[in-house]
Amino acid sequence: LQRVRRALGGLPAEQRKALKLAYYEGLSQSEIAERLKEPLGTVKSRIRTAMIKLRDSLELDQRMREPQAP
Amino acid sequence: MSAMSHGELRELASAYVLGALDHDDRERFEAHLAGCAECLAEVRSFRPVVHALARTVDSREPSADLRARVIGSATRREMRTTLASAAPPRSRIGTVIPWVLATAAAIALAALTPYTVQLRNRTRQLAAVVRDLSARLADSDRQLLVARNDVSLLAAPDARRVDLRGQAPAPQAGARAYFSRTRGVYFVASDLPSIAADKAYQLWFVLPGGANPVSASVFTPDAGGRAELIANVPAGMADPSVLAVTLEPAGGSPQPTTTPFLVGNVN
Repeated sequence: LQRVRRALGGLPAEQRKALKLAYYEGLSQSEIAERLKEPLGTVKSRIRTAMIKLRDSLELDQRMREPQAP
Repeated sequence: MSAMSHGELRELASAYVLGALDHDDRERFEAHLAGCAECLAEVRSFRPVVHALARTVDSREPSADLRARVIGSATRREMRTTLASAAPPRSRIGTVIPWVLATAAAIALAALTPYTVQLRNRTRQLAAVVRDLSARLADSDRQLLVARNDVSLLAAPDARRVDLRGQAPAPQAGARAYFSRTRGVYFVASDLPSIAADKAYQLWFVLPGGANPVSASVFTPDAGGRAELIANVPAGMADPSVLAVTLEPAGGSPQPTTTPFLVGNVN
């Protein structure tokens, strides 16, 4: 939980905002674009970049916690 | 609606697992997902992110403001009930009650609106969970299908076992294969040397009588030097006398270009 919070906190504000609107408020990409008055393409790429960053940071963390192979 | 390339569709995966795709995109992506293992893997790769996000949302408390409004409206409703039951002279209070009721209803409604929004969000999140589960189920079905094929291949009446031995470039390597003309070839190798990213191993059907070898499959072993694959047997090909594995440029070669790493006779 802490890890996700930290990873979320590490995102640029505009990516975090788009992700939060998508997940916590359940808005679709075009609804987010409308809400933020941003082009749809921008919103799409922000969400994708944010998701990839979260995925990578979770994966990295997972790998670091796994015992090293002998 | 314009056609989307595979790359464009693949880029929809992250928004799909969030449940944030617009209707048309979602339909397109789901239709594509049914037949694309790569996109399914992409969807799966985002699963830990969604699970992690779900855990952060579950721990959120309703805001103090919302709580105050809900408790406030409930208290007012109790007062209103007491007032109504203790009010026999209707002539005077009768005009006041409807106003009290209307106000209480308006306040209750105002308190409920954020709650409906929460419910709507929760529904969307659950829909995303359902989509995630169906993708997982499709994935399991696919794996089951592969496993069934494995079994039917091993049990095929014409299946022949091939033991491949490590040759000079990789004496420690070994592999076993089952060759069936009708079901294909199932191949498992172990202790293969790790290779550069621009290289791949290639499995060949070596034919009797000096005919050119036929490629069966191109593969890369995992970090432990293990590889497992199922390849089709080309229709009309003569029965191979030997299975062999060579090292080739990534993507494979039309004909083998190096000395074999593994060789085994098809009995």
